[in-house]
Amino acid sequence: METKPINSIEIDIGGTFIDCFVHFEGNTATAKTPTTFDFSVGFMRVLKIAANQLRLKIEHLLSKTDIIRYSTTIARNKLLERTGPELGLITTEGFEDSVLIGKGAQWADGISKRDARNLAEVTKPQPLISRENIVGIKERVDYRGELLRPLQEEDLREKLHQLVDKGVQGIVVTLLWAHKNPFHELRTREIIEEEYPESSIGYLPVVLSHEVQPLKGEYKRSLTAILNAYLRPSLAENLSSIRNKLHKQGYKGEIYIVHGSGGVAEIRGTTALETFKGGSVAGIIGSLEIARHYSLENVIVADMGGTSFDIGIISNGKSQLYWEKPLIDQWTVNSTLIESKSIGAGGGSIARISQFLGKKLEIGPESAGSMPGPACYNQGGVEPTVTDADVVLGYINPAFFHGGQFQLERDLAEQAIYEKIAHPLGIDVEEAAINIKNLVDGNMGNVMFKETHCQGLDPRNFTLFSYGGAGPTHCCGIVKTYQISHIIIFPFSPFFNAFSASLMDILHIDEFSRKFIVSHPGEKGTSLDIRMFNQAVKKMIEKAKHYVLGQRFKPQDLQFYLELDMKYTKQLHLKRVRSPILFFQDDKDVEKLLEVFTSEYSKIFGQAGILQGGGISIETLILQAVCPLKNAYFPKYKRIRSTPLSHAKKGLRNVHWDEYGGYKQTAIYDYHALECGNIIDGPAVIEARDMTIVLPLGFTFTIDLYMNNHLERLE
Amino acid sequence: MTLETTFTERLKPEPLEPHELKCIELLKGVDYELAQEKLNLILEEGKEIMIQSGVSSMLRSGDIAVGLYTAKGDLVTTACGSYLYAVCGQPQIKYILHKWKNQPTVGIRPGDIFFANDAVFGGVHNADQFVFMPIFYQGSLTAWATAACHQPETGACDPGGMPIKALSRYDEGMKISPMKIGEGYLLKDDILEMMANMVSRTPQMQIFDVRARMIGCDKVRLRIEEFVKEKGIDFLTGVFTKMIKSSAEEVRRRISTWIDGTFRAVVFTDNIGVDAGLVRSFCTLTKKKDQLILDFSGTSPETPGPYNSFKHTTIAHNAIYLYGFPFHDLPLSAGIWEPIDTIVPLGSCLNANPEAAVGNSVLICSLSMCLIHIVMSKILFASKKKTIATSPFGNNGDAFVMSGTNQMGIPFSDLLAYPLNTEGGGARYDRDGVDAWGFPWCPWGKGPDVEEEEEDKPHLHLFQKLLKDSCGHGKFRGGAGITVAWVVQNVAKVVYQSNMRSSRVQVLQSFFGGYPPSVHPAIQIRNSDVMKKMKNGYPNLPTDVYELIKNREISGDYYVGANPLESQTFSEGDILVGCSHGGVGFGDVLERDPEAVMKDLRQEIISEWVAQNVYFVVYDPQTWQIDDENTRKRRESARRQRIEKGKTYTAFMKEWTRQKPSLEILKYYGDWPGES
Repeated sequence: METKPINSIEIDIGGTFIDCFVHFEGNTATAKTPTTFDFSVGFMRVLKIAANQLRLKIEHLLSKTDIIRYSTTIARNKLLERTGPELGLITTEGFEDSVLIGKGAQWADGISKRDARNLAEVTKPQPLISRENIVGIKERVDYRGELLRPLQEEDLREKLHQLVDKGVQGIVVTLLWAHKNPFHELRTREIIEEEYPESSIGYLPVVLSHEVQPLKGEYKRSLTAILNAYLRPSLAENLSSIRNKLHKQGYKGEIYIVHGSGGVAEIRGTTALETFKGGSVAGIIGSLEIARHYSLENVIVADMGGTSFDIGIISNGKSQLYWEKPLIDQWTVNSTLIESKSIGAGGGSIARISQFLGKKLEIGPESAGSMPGPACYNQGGVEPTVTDADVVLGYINPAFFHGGQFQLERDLAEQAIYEKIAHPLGIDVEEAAINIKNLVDGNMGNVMFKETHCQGLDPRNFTLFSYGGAGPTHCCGIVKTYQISHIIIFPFSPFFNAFSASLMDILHIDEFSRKFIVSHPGEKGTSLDIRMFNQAVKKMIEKAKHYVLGQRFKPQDLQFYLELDMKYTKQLHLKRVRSPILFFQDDKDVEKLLEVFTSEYSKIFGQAGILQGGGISIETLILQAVCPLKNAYFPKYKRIRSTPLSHAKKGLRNVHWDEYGGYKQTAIYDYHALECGNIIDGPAVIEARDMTIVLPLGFTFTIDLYMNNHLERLE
Repeated sequence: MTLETTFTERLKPEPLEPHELKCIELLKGVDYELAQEKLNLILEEGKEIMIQSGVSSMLRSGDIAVGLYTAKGDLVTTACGSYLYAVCGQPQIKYILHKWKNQPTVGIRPGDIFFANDAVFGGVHNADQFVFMPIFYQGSLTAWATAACHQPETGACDPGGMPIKALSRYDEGMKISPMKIGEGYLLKDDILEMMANMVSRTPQMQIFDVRARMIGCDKVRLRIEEFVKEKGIDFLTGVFTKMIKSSAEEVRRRISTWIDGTFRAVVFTDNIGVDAGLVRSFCTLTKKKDQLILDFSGTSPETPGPYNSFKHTTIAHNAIYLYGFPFHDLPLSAGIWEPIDTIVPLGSCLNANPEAAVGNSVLICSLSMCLIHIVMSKILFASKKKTIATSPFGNNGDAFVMSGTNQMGIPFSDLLAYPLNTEGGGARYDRDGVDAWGFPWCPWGKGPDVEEEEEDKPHLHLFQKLLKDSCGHGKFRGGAGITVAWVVQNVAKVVYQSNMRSSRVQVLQSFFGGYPPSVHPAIQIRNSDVMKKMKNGYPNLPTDVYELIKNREISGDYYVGANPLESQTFSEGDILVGCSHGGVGFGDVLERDPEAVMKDLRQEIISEWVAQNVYFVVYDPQTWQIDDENTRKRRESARRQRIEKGKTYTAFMKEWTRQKPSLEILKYYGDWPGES
């Protein structure tokens, strides 16, 4: 992590808190404030807190800041609130219900397996465009992109007027095969603009499906276009408000929006959909950079917060999990997003006894949230949570929660666990609390195990990056079963997503559905039309250059990576592989691509999965254009001493350890008094303002030269 | 041929042995909870790997299951897909154990791979193919993994794996009894070639998908071996035993909370595949204390076509309801069958003889699916479990098959999965059913996009949308089905087949005053000029099936008849119409909120005729504003007319028992009037 220091501000707006990470002239500041209804208010508030920490006026901080990166959940919030504009949908006649039918079991999208099994209760999501606002127009294109039925323009104008009469404020156009031949979609927009010109009061913004995402599959393409149209106005309004406030206070640069695809882009280069999951994806991309810094090939990234446990996987120096079927709320979309697998396990997750099946203990996915929160918050919550168990077991210091800003009540935690868990099971509170901790840790470990295995990887060869408010408390428990022997915790763990954004580059992704036969079934040799393939890649590169030039960067700053969705001819599942080169010269180059595909494929499916003679095709081309920004870095410190100074030891506390079969007086350390090179052997508890590191027997804690914390399992 | 009933009937768990019960005591703290979740995740992994490595469209739709079974062959848990496969894996493993374990020429050893697709030995129908792998630890058989999926081609007399012309098992293509197809974790190529030869319409698909099943199974095998190595064999036995035992106990407890009594239902279907004719199925549910008895006595005899089922297949269909509704929150283990007995008379179409054609067993079982839904909803409603006491969901199994050579010159044979995956949901006691809800046999399955279908298959979709008036009406209506029209293009010829029924008599029956959904005719147009009209910009092409058939703007030879439709060749430009059925309504149509009626009208779920003549809503024909007063009056009048038409029970029975359909209709019915 090199390059000279730059001044940057990273803001991550989450459901509960707004996090801020500032790099300013070699110093860093972190700040947190509760999320506000008007995001711009919280945005400026958290900046002010950070400026105060640096003893700067906000105007000075902003005027000297080179770059601001921003990840926001506003689109998600607006979607949940259903407060988007009233839209009309124009589609091919005879297919007006496609987005409502949702390929059948649309109701199963975005809900838990448990809920999806309850067939009597399932229901489809409330559509973003009502059936009354959907019209079909007379036109048709076929799978080759040939026009089968000419667009009947008078019919279109008539239906357009019907929509306007119903009060629609914008139009989404999604016609069959428009990604193959967009002529009718383009002509439809021309007609809408003729009828409702930009200069008129009745101007209607128009979103065309092929422009939003030129990919095969009308259902996902339609939803992608609809979501972008639905969320764009509120997102634009929010971003404009923030930009104005920042500029008034002296900021001269651009705001870069963190994308769920793993990069950042200027506001004008951002669609609403791209803002989804920006925060959690930032954590994965940041981890990728840190993994490179430590020369770690294989890393599991685990974020345990208040309500969920999210994991990402880095293997061979790149993020492994593309979201195969991206879901936004209950809508399947067509977009390249990095997936962070999530389960409902966090500090606020509620423990309960299933009334049947032998009084089985269950945790989550329901969370007590921040209000009323765990029982120990003393805010009226009566349900026992993971945090309550952590308090009872002595891991969390009730007097030092959030650095002592928030007093926890151990008695209330005990009472909730007694009433809801211990008493019904006929066990004592201690055992009930242990069961809660072991179950939540085990569940998280199980998911981690499964997801890495599904990628054909062995989790035992991985390092775990643990962050989020509850991550450092539970990370050793999570890895207990799976022999992961190395964990890294960052000093800014609760601000990790915001910090990670400071490591992100500008990224433009262009996707294009186009079938190229690489080898025919039952035939030897390759059959790729190299000229056509190279032409397609060239076109995408030109488009990316145009895009980046629009963002005031030079084409020579760009790095290109070509990824391809490939499959065996008859197969349905696509495997995304990175092409070894951008342009193919001859069959030997194609053979190299086939080798990459076969190798990647066999990692997951084994040699038995290789379909010899099955033929291979490319279905989608994905071009990534990366423009590196000047990013943050870890300052390097000098190793001071291995033994912590005496004042770092805060005292002793009774803490429960499985290894000792009960409570044991345990050393408690003040994290902020530790120095570079300090080593602590478990069992110990290390308390920081916003995190508590739980170090069991058999683990050693070390602070490295970058002030990052390593937990290593002793052999 | 003798049906191996000893094994096919062993769907209940084997009696637990003292050692197995003792192993439960090894589970401390949250061992059980964690292990159960771990096993479920292992199966999910196996399922995902299988889906990703297979090729057939039913894999894409998710019509699969990957299951874990005890060493004795009892289902422990599954990741699915379809519950059918999870249940039917069990008798087939028990058969393998009985027949081959001690047979020196076969045996069961580490690395063995078994295959079966003959329903006689415990399967569903031969399109549903299973792979089994034994899991060993330190030389002892520890568990079994299975992976199953529907294969859309079996080499039968008709393409598509579910021949409707079949008269006996000899017409239905490849049927393989449980046999070893691999050793040392490798499939035997000669056996794969044999299968490909038997399924020569789509040989590669057969090989690829057997391989996909094996990959899914083997992943489970590998993970379980790791798990046993870490935790020990007794620990695993304890977890398996507790999963089965706790399910059984909870099912018993739950049943005991329902009221005792007897509940009955009867349903009919109108076709046996090779011929039209009325077929009846009857179910009597008796509940006493903590036990249920489902008795299908009174069901019509075995038919001379392919719409027959074996007893275990019928019971497995009951699982679709039981796992999906009253026991949806329990582990998917064999334990649920422990307190439930099922009686299906041998020789009936739901318990046919081994020689019978059963390629469409899933379709005849739509009768038993509807029956169990009705009798169970009755007892649940009476027991104040109203939220799960729903009207029956659409379950006609609206299957259309397409076969031939596609526009790229590649041979194919496949189910058209859109209508299959879009039947309407049943109405609930407090709200409507879900429109285009799904595929009851595999509730989470999805239909394909038009663009996916048109790229791979040589036809164009003229329209594909919700089918107006297809829902069952009621205070709360059932969900609507869909309609689609396919036009052959880019090839000279293809073959289509329709397996759906209910063109004359609806399988789904009314529930608590709610109406059953509508019946659908079979429609096709030969020698159409639709492509020419399309090219010329003809403005009035039909946008749904009503316009197609009423306006006849497309020239051609119209055929309107009854489903099913045996495999027929269609030429370029010919049109076939497909539909899926709606769900059943709940409650009296006269109690439906007029606003809800008008909303359905605006959304084209119902027609004006239905709004006016079924729901008796009066509204302004121009503005569609409801006339509340006149609506109330019309509904009162309709109630009075009902009362006027009412009869005493004796008077009704006197008239009713004199009625009898023609003998032509009753030729497959069995005794008239039969048991009642």
